Amino acid sequence: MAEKLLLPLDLTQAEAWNKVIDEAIGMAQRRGAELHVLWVVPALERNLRRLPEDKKPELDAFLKKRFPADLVVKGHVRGSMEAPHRSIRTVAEEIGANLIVMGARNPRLKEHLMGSTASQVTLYAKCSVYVVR
Amino acid sequence: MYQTIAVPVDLEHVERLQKALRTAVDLARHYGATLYYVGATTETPNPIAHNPAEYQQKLAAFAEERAAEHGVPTAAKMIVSLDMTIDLDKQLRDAFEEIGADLVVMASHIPGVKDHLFSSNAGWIANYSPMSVFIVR
Repeated sequence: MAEKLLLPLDLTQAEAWNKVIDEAIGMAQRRGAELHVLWVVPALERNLRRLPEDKKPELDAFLKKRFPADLVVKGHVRGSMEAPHRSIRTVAEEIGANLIVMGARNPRLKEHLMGSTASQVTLYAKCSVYVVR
Repeated sequence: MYQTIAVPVDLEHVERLQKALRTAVDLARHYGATLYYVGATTETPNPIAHNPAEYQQKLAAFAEERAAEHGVPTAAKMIVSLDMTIDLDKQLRDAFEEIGADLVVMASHIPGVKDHLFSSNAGWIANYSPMSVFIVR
């Protein structure tokens, strides 16, 4: 079975993650792996009629535009009430990811106290984690 | 994208690091980077070496052996620690900075209860280092 790479992204800041996206594409191509892109969104919004699933078309359009066509790319939108790192780990286990490729922001005060999403994922994920800076 | 890849190694448990070592070689080959094997030893005799000089020799031999095996340029960097349980995280970070590593590839143990209270070496480095980090499980 092909390896699975999980790439968690925040599409609201997609341009900040270009390096990570390129690295994930390269890695998936070299390993012949499937690339699963995960967008964790708030489960509830101010407009309650907007559901997490409504963001799927936006993600699919982005995947089509940004990722090479010869790569197997699958999009996942996950509505979450909890911290993103928990959803990332849950989805990684659900799809049986072999590797999580993700970006990290430079730590600010909050991250020094609480840890960044990337560090929480590296601490508790069951698979390999590649943090690209 | 990367020039210097640091790989922390524990010469006592090399067999458990195989996956991380393989991953590091793959990345080094792909980016044409130099692999720096970073090993830590104590001033006092330990199961690997009687003194730091002997450890340095063994680490250098390990690096050369791997260079010959995989055809990737390697180097060795030794850390001498008085108490590894206390100092290792910070000393590793200093060593990465000194060799100018832009990527660290390291093995991690499976997280257990202890890590929910205290962080592991790998998690600490992932959180506070300025370079990319690849944790291999």
